[in-house]
This record gives sequence, C-alpha cells and structure tokens, in this order.
Amino acid sequence: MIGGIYFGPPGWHLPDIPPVTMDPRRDPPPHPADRTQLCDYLAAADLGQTHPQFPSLANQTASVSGRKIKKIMISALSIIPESRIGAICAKINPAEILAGMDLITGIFSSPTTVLAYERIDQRELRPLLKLARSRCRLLPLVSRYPAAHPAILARIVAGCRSADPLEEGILTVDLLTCLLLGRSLLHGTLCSHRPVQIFMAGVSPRVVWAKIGSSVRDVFLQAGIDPGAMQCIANGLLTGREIDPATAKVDSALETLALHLRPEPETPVDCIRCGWCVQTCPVAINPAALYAAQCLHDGVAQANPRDAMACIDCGLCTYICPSRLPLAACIEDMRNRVEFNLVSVAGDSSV
Amino acid sequence: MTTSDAAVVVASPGARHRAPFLLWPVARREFYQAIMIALILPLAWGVSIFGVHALLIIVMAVAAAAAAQGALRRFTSRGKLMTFNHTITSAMLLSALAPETCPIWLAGIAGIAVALLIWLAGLPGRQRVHVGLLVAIFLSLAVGRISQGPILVQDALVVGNLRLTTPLQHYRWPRRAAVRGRDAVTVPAPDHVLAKTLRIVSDRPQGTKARSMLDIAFGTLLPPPAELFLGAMPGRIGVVGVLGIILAGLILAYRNILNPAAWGMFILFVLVGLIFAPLSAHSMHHQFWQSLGGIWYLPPERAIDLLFVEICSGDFLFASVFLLALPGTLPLSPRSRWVFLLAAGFLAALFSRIALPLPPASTAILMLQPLAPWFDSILPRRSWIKF
Ligand code: SF4
Ligand code: SF4
Repeated sequence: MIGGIYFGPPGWHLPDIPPVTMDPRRDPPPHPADRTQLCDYLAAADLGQTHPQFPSLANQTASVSGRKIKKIMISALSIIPESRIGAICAKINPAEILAGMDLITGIFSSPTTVLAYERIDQRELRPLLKLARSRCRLLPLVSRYPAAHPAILARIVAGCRSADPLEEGILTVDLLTCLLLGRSLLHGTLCSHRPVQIFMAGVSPRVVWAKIGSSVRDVFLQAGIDPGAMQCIANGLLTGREIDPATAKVDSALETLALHLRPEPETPVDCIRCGWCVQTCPVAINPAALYAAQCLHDGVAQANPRDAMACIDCGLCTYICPSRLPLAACIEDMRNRVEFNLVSVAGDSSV
Repeated sequence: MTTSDAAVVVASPGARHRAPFLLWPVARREFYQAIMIALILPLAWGVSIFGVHALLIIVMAVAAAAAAQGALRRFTSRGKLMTFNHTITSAMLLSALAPETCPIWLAGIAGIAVALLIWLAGLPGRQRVHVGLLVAIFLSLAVGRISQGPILVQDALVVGNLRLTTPLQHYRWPRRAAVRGRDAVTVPAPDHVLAKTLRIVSDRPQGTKARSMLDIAFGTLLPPPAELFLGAMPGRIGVVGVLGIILAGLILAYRNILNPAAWGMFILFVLVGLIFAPLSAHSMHHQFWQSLGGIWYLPPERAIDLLFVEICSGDFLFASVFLLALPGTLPLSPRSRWVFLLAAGFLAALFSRIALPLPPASTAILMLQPLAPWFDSILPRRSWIKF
C-alpha cells in the first residue's frame, strides 16, 4: 500500500470559465513530426512546466532523446488536493486536449497510453473520456494525496520504482499540457495564458485565465477579489509557498492561489513517537528518524541520510505531526546536503 | 514569484511560513486528551462494577498526580515543560491497571510517583517507558503481596447481583457479611483457574481426565461468558469492562489515534497471545512440542470458551486498545511493529500462564517498550524509490 491521505473530493462546483484569446505566434511553424521538432515547437510556443512537481514536456523530450518510451501516462489528476485542474481542462475544450494527446502519442509511439483521472471529476470529464476511449486506456482513481505526483502515479500505473519515471521509459504528461499544446497547434497561438484557481474562505472558488508574467494582484482583481493583508499561498496549502501578491508574477506553473488568515503559530515540541509520519509517508521513509538525525543530531536514530533522496516533498509528514515538527523542511535540508556531497565527490573523482 | 520572505525560509528550516500552511487538527495536547476521554469509559465501567472504593482509588491517583505536577511546575523550571494532559493520562492509566484491593493511600503515593517520574524521565516524548504503566506494575506487585487474586464480593456489585441469576454451583463468590464488610477478597480468579486446568490438560490432552477437568472448569468454576463480557469478574479497575474498552477503541479509531490500518496488528497481538496462552509453565519444560498447539487440543466448543475467557479476563483487550494507541509504545517502521507485536503477544501469553500478580499483556509491553528503537534499527523502513 502506498501511503498518503484521502482529503475527500475538492467539493466545489466549477464556475463558467470565461474564454481567452491567447497571443498569436508571429510565424507559426509546421506541426512537429519528430522529437527534435517537438522540442523546438514547445520552446517557440512558450509551453513550460505546468506545476512545480510535474516535469515539463519540453524537458522530458530533450532528456529522452532517441530512447524508447514504454508507456505514456496522461494525468487528469490534481497534485494539489483542493485543485480541480483536470476537470477545468476538460470543461475548457476536449477537442484541443485530444489534438495535444494525438501529437504526443504520435511522436513518442509508445505501445500503451494511460489516461488516469479522478473519479469525482467523471461528470466534467465525460465528453473527453468518450473521445479518448479509443485512443488510450482509462484509469479512474480515488486520489489520495499525493497520488497525482508523477513518481507515485507511475508506481500505481506501471509499478515504476524510480523517482523519475522517465528513467524507466514512462513519459508523464498532464492534461493542461495537452490542452495548451492542442490549442497552439489548432490556432497557431502562444501559451501566453493559463487557468488559475483562486480560493478564499467564504467566497466560492474562481477560475480565471491568467496572463503569464502579469502581476498576481491583477489576477485577484480579475477575479473580483481584493487580497488585502491576507496570507497568499501559491500552489496549495501543503506544498505551496507564501507570496506577496503585489510583487509576485504569474508563471507557467501557477495552478492555485489561496488567501487565508495567518494562523497562530504553534511551537514545535519533542517527538512523541506516534508513528503518524511514518504511516503517511507515500514513499515509505521514516521522517521521524531522519529528523532526529538531521536536526537533533541523535546518534541512536540510525537514519540513513540517503533516504532523504527519496522524499518527494509532499509535506504530509509535517502536516500530520502532532508535535508540529518541521519534518519536511528538515528532510529537504538533509537532501540538499547529501546532493551537495554527491556532487562534490563526483567533482573530486573527475579531477 | 519568489519573495524576500521565501529566501529567509529556505535558510531556516524551523520557520513558520514554510509549507505546509495547513496542520492536522490533532496536536500533541489533543492526542493525549482523546486517550484521556477514551479512558473514562472503562474506568467508569470499573467503578460501576467495583463501587466506591474503585472511584476513590481513581480520584486519589489523578488528584495526587495533578497536585504533584502543579507543585513541580511552580517550583522547578523543568516542570514548566510538563503537560497536564500527559500527566493525567498517565495517572488514569495507572488507576485503570490498579487492583481493586489497592489501599487508597497507596494510590495517592502512586499518583505522586507518576508525576515525579515523568519529571525525572524527561517529559512527554522523551521517556522510554510509559510511566503510568511502570507505576501500575509496581503497585500490582506491592498489592500482590498483601492479597492475591482479588475478587469482588457478590453483594457489592453496583450493577446488581449478577451471580444470583447464574446456574453456577462451585464458582461461589462470598458475601460482604462473610468477609467482614470488605468489598473485595482473595479467591481464585478465572485466569488462575484456567492456568491450573490447562496445566493438567496439557499433560495428557487426549485423556478422559483432561476432558472431565475441562468440563468442570468451564461448566462450574468459570463464570459464564455473558458475565465476563459485562465485567462482573475479578480483575483490575479499568480492565474488567470489556464493552467499555471496545467503545473506547471505537472513539480512538474515530479520532484516528487507533489507526484503522493498524487493526491487523492488534488482532495479531491478541491472537498470538491467545493461541499460545494454553502453554503452561509446566509444559514449557516437559511437553513443549505437544502443547505448542495449545488451543487446538481442545474440543471446538471449549476452544471458543477458552478464547472468550482469555479475551475478557486478561488485559489483552486493554493493552491492544490503550497501550498500543499511546504514542511511544511501538516501533515506528511497519516491519518492526509486526515483530514487536509477535514478541509481545508471546511474552504476554507466557506471563498469563506463570500467574504472576501482574497484568500479563501490559507487563509484556512494558518490558519490550524500551527496545522499540532497537527494533527500528534492526528492521528499518526502506523506501520503495530507487535513487
Ligand atoms: S515530505 Fe517527504 S518525508 Fe515527508 S511524507 Fe512527504 S515524501 Fe515522506
Ligand atoms: S508524526 Fe511527529 S511526533 Fe509522530 S513520530 Fe513523526 S515526528 Fe514524531
């Protein structure tokens, strides 16, 4: 059993999403026919990463070069528990998604393509699923956070045991990438905008097309919300980061914005060995032992610092810890240290 | 999109404004609070069975622990780190495992000892054994010397005299008048009867003598299952109320403190203990292999009776619900948890047959608990991710 937590369905009704006109391309190139042309096309269309934890199609295409792709995994799941990005894409335009999907499956010519989607989004996804049924295998999932993380999804779909599914020949693409690519192909436009979901307590969630590079404050105003002095979190409350709407800019990986009152800080106390962090860790590491070794320098903890390399930064251990210990942050520091040591060892040996 | 704040955060892992920005609603305080609330059920059950004396033991132990914690907080700097919920939970655990015959003054001393030991052993999360459990074991040993096999007199049951409605002939509980007004006296308790019977049975499990011994034990010496389930039997204050413990377990499962995913482990603990329980101390050196099957030598209906008596009369259920739910009892990695529980179940079964005046499952856990980090280090959790 892969760990994680079921947060329940996002439970909000998708509002109508006003249409957007993407910026046109000056001289639209012909449709790409191979991987090299796809790389150039994606760069020219400004199609980058659509979520901080999801690898961009451009990077994957560049790093896979001529290697065989065993499986294409298209994800209509949302990595952020409150997000409904899959349903939003399907509601915008299934035909554009299919155009993008067809191009990707044609170029990578993999024997299997799987479309994983959230059961709860089935109503919104129905038109897309109907069209996609003949092209790929459909895989409905009840998403336990962080099941939509590429490493976890590849484990569920293909039994992959690598942090980077591409190493085992699995290409992971999200639905938004398919949508933006399809739109660019069909209309010859740049990927100049992306849908952003906005959450605020007491206000029904909004979805707006935000122009990449514009101010986050403008996005809030576009949605009719004044951020005021509230805490603004980009990309989910579990793994996102705090931003200042006045100075922050929209980037291609901005999926959600949440406004909430700054919570009362809780002081971390000693670990009580409840084991919750170990039970919930989706990649089966022992955050308590790593924390003891890294932050408390506890020799008894017997933690192998290399375990920190398996952490996918989902934040669940910190979220669940009743002692309020900053486990994920500590493990991230540990991972940085291990990576630094590995790089320096590699550098020394090459000298 | 990076703000200057974010840069500060990366340099300081403990900073508050780093993800996650959402926390599970159960903090350490609520964790102990939930266990405390759940413990009220079996304790209340124990009071309804054992009467005012049991209530006074609980009140004395808890009040003494609270007063001692108050004094330690006021007069020592280390005491300021003690948490009320943790100390009270420990005192309640102590009173749940206290024998009903325990003198009230001794319960008071035990309550003070709980607070002092928590203060000495390094506060919540740092102590290597549950202090409440440790003190309860010492209390059982102390009281054990005064009186063995405590049992309630039949007219002192708050819930009414269940005995009058049963067809038991040999299993007679004394009346209060016959024991000079005391609520509890020493008579053979069901688990002692069971230990003795099984010792004889395991010598020649297929013989006619064994069969008639079993008939006598289950037909006349042991209380009927319904009474065991209701708790009208000798035992420790918080351990006798089987129904109360089950309800408490449901409350803890609802609060996610008794993780439903770990139920398999609780069942393992109880099962291992029960299957090996019929091993007698005698057969351990004489007919170990013959009696290893233990329960399987019994006719099916007797085996079911035996399971029922074992579940209701020992502290297996109490330990499975409360001790395993208490943080710090088990190792952290799943594999080491399985091994730990196998060992605990086996040890508990052994203790229940040696018939010490101690709660067998709790004693087994107390002995293994300091070894939990060691279990983790020999069977560490390894990630499935290759890197
Ligand atoms: S942040 Fe890392 S260590 Fe913590 S639960 Fe997620 S994967 Fe496990
Ligand atoms: S969740 Fe927190 S308190 Fe519980 S074992 Fe992990 S680090 Fe310790």
